[in-house]
This record gives sequence, C-alpha cells and structure tokens, in this order.
Amino acid sequence: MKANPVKLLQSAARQVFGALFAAFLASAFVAAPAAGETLRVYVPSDPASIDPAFWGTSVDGYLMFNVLPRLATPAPGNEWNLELDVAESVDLSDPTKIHFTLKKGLQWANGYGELTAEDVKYSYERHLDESVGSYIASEFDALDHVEVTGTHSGIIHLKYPAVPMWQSTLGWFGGTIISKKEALENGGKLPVQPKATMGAYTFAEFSPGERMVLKADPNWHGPKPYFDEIVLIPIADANAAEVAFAAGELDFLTSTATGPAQLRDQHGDNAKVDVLTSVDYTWLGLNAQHPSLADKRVRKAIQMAVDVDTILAATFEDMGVERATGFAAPGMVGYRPASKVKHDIGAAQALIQEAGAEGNTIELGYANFGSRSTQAQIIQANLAAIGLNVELNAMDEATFWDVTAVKTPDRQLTLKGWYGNPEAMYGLQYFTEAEFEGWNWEGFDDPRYTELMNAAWEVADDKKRGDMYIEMQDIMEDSGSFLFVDNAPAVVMYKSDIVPGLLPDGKPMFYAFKKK
Amino acid sequence: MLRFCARRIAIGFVIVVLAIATIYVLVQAAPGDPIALMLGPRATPEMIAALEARLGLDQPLPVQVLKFLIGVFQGDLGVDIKTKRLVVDEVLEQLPYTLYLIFASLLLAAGLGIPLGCFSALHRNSLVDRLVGILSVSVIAVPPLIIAIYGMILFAVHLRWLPAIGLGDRGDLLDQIHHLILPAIAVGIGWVGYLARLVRAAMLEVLNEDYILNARAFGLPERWIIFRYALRIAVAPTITVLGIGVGYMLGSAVFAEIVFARPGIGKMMYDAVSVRNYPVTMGVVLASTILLVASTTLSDIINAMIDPRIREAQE
Repeated sequence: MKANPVKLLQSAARQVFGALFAAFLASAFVAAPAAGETLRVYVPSDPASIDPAFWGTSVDGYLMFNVLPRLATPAPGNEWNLELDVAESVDLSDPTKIHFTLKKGLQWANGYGELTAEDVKYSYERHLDESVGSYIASEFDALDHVEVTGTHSGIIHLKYPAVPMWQSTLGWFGGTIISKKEALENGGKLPVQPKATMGAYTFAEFSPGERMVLKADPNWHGPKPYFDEIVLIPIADANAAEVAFAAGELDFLTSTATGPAQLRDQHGDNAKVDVLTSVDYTWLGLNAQHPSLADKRVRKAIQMAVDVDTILAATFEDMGVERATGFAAPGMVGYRPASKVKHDIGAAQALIQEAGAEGNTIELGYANFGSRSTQAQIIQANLAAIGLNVELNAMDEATFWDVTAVKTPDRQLTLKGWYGNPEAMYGLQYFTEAEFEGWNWEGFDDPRYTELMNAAWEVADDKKRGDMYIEMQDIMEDSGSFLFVDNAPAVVMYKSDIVPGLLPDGKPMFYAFKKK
Repeated sequence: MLRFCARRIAIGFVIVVLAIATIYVLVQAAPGDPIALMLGPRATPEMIAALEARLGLDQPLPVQVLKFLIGVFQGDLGVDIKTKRLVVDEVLEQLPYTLYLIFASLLLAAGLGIPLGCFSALHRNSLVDRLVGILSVSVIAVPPLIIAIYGMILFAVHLRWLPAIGLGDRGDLLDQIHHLILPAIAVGIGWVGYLARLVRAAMLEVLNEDYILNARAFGLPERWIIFRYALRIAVAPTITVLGIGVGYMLGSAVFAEIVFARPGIGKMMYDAVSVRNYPVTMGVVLASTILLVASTTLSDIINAMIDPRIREAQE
C-alpha cells in the first residue's frame, strides 16, 4: 500500500511539535541548580590573556590576582597595602637592588614543579626581550637583570633607582610570576588557560563566551578559601547582568549599569551595593602646543568655566563622587586633598576677553562610551557661557586612542580616562617633552615637574615622595593644561549573605570572599 | 536540476569572494588603530612598528586582501590578536551556538507563522483572522531587544520559569533547550508575524487560481487541495524570505547573545569590532557571509524543487 505523503507529513509534524511542547513544559519546571559553595560572578568580557606580558582586560587582571603569584600582592581592605605573597622576605633598603627570598616548597599546579628564583628571573626579564614583544616592556625600563643567588633567593638589579616600581609594577599585574617551564613549552607565552597556576584557585573549565570556572587549589599556601568554585560569566551588557542577578543567576557583579540608590531600591534586603573609588582617572586635557590653547589665560579660563560639580552630578547622580585632584586617588601616596581650581564664570570671561579669544572655536575630542558624551556636552555649554564655541568630536575608542593618526600638536581639548595604579608615578611619568609624540596630549613640559619626577624615583619614604607628587600635580593644574574630573567610582553589587573580599578599588580577591 | 544547483553554487562562491574582499577593505579603512588599543599608553614607536609588522598591517592593502583570500582557501584565517589563538578554531567553536539559536528561531517562525497564515487565509475576515492580523503586525513592530528584555524580566525574574542567561548544562539537552527558549523567542517572534502575513496573502492568491477551483469542481477533498496544491505553491515565497531571513537573524543574534550571555559569532563580532581585532572580525564576517549565501542558495534550490517553473525559467 502506498503511503499518503500528506498524512505522513502531518503525522511527523504532530510528533515534532508534541515532543517540543513536552520538552518546553518539562524544562520550564526544572529547578535551578543549587548554588552550594559556588560564587557566580558577572564579568564584562572573556579573559583575553592572563600572561602578564599581554594582558588587556579587567577580567585578565582579576584572574592574574587570583590564580598567579607575585612576590607581594595587594591586600583586600579599604587601604592600599602590599602583603608578601610567595616571598618570605624582601629587602628594599637599596634603591637599585631588591633582595628577595621565596617561601620554600611552593608548587605550581599540575606538576610543573616548585617555584624557584629562576621563575622570578624569567618572569621579569622576558619583558625586556624584544622577541617576546611584551606590551608592558616600558614598565620594566628600570630593570637591568635578576640575579639568582640560590634556589629560592635572588637580587633584582635596577639600572637606576626606581622606588615606585615596587608598588606600581612588581606588586601589581606586571609583577606576576609565571612558570618558566610552561611558558617555554608554549613558545615563551602563557596559554589563555595556563595549567601552571599558583593561587587560591586554579582553572577548571573555560568555554569562551559562556563561562570560566575556577576551582580552589588544595596546594595553595594560604588559608582555604570559603568558596570551592568561582564561575565567571561574561555578559557584554551590564543591564542584562542586573536582570540575571535579579533572577538569582548571579551572586556578585563587578560593575553595574544602574546607580546605587536605584539598585538598593530594586533589590531591597536581597542585595548589598558598595561604591568604591577606583585608581583610574578622568581629566580634561588642554593642549598648550595648539595655537588655540597656547595662551595660558585661555587655558586658565577654561579650567574656571567648566563646572566639574555639575559634571559629577550628571554622571554619577547619587554616588557621592568627589572631584579628582590629580593622578593619585584618595588613599594613595601623593593624594592632594583639594583642587585649587575654583569654578568662576566671571573671572573666566574676563580672562577670555583679556586674551582676545572670544568667539574662538575649539575642538573637544573624546571616546564615546558611557557618560562621556554627557560630560562633553556640559563642557560645551560651560564654555559657550564664556564665549568659546566647542565642536564635539565623539569617536569610538579605537579611533580616539589612535596616536598614529592624530599627533599631539593637532589635538586641542581631550576628555579622557586612563587606567590607574595604586602608585601615582604610573601615570605621572608620561608628562615630559619626550612624550609629545606619544601620550602627553597636553603638550605639558615644566622643568620643575621633570626635576621632581626624576628625584621621586629615588625616594623610598612615602611621605616625602607623596609631597613631591603633590607638588607635581599642583604644577600640572597650575599650567592650565589639566582639569581633573573624577576617579571613576566602582559600584559592586552582591547578595546580602555574601561578604566580599575587595581591593580598595573594588577588584575582587576571590579567596577573601565569605558567606555570613 | 543538477545544472541549476551547480550554477547557484558557483554564483554563491563568487558572491562570497567579492563580499569578503570588499569587507576586508572596509574594515581596514575604518578609522582606529588596534595596535594602540592593544599596547595602551605605554607603547613605544618601536613596539608599535614591531606589532604592525607581525600582524602584516604594514603591507599595502591589496597585498593584505590577497594574502587573506589565499589564507581563506588554505583554512588559515590568522591569529586572534588578543588571545593568540587560531581564528578558525575560535569561529568553529562559536558558530554552532549561533546556528542552534538561528535554527530554533527559524523553527519557531515557520512552525507558528505558516500554520497561522494558512489558518487566517482559510478563515478570511473571521474574528480569529483579524486577531492574528493584529498580533502579527504587533510582533513585527516591537523591536526584538524589547522582547528580549521584557521576556527576561517576566519569565526569568518574576515567574522564574525560564533562565535568564547562559547555555545550560553541557550534556543536558533538556537544560539547553530550556536556556534556548527566551533567546529564540526574542530573535524569531517578529518573523512569526511576518510569515503569517506572507503565507496568508500567498494562500489567498493561490486559492483563487483556476486549478484550485478545478480541483474543487472535481470534488477532491479540501484538505488534499490545501496541503497538496495550494500550500505547496504559497509556501515558495516564504522559503525565499526565510533564506534571506537567516541574514537578519544573524543580526538579531548579536544582541540576543549579548543580552542572554550566550556564546556565538554575533557576540564574537561585537567584541572584535570594538577593539579592531581584524583577524577575528574577518573570520566572523566570512562565516556569516557563507551562512547567508548558503541559506539563500538552499532556498533557491528548494524552490526550484517545489516549483518546476522556477527551474525551467533559470535553465
């Protein structure tokens, strides 16, 4: 008997739709897996590379701090402190020689052997090797070589005194130590998911675009972390991450799209929201080398005309963010308690008239993301009030940071932010004449500033060095080339039964997370 | 039929090559320097030059295009400048997730849209027909992003019936289907309305054709007339539209993968474009171009199989 094709089709369709409907019903009532001792964390992207020579995203930083060691590492808490990590002792008394001794018996995960001074030597010196092509080679400019004096001891020889390097590089991402054996197996670089880890956690699973799972490493030399498993979930849109948090699918958000007051309203007692101050900085740069801004009176007038408080209120609403005073955030060595620039439209107008700049047109360039556009529009309106026309030039990030396309002499006003570091010298060192073709977009050059900077490299006393940084930032501001805006706040949200372990800027140290 | 298929595939191949070469030039011509982003403020001119040379960005554009095309034919799409992994591996790893999502969305669109359109045509001007019409236009009009966000808030946050993010547990098909429902609705629901309107209009036209009236006059069963003759012809434009629709769904997959935190080539493209990760951008564009050309070619071939007039016109 010949089969009826229509009936066969109908029958097949019924079976397919029946099966799908059944699957839908069944799946809709599957209970969500219990969280147990797992911490589910929202991160804005996948990690790119946790090789300290090639790291590039905030997630890379979180991972480096949690799965790889340093001689000393930042301690969780409200203040910036370094605590010894794999070093048993470090002697910083000689400004060009750092003596270190490693703790004995520390093992790399997955059978990569014991951590030795050879690993430290390899990890640091590779940044100077041009064939490696380290992205952070310039952070190691002061390094001459590392001398291995024993299996667990060595001396870091510097070409010139560079006291800030201990905090800015060796105690930060750049100072991350990797297994020489694993790097050599991979052609001198770490794979995205290295096997030779040494931290509270080690890699268990990585599914790009979906999740990265860390498992507590039983061999870690520190106390056993509370959470056995950390699941990092990359979500490109922070709003979606907030919805997922509300749905109970995340425990900790490393950043948020919504303001803290609104988040507290939405989540009530189920969530805690903390606002921390990052070490990053945003400022308006005024290029003294450009004809339209060469007159210091014009630059000073712009400084006085821009209403930073309004910018902060419009950008950060209820977060209580205070204006930045320089490249040192609150709590850092060299923090200036207050800016000397006062918002004064009348005085600004008088200066513009004195300089004969009324009616001039100036370009304001910025990378168009987040609230930058709002900030730029406020500046435009403020400067219109003193008779300056501002043309906004919004660019995507890649275009804005393209130093090969636009040279410093062609830049005018730039509104920008840099990733900072707990050591202010990290950013301050770029404002010299040598950087006119690079990152000194303000065309700033001051002999006293350069003198202080060169001297500060040798000063071990934090108070003395801090005073020098304060004077350097005074000079920057007084030049009229810098208007410091904010140290971007870091808003984190987590379930109310969690006690997070965070650095002062909100970076998570997962080993310090606990549950109430 | 074989000659028809061969011709369509050859045209598809030429389209892919031309599209890839054009997009390569456009991507390179866009302002922005990936090297500056990768190396950051601490890069020296020597470091910038060395990395440019390593990535081949210091060569003339025509040479870069030619090298890229030769690489494509050798299965070499270069290395991801951020992760240092082979782009071909990354694309092949992510592509299936996008295909699942598009397939599920197509299934939803065709599975609901075609029967609804058919039903509306057979019950023309009835209350149900009008209701389907209003709903169809409504779901077409609402942007998929809104459906995604409100779907999440309703089904994941308030009702907690469906998960908000992720793929689901590996090896647990049920859990993966569970995680696919909201994204598939967000991407495919607009197409349900679109297909319902399309099939309704096509069916109404076909049902007035002489051969349908003849069939009715000969007393053939109504169900036989509808499924065997009317729907078969009416569904042809739908297949063409679905072929093109794969391209639109790829676009929608970008936001769906972002909002629902799913891996896939849409999300990969978003990440790559924002940092001028040229090798990954080109790898994803190549994959999506091939997918689009393949789906339109396949829809042409299916149409030719269903309707001999199309085949004859081409030959």
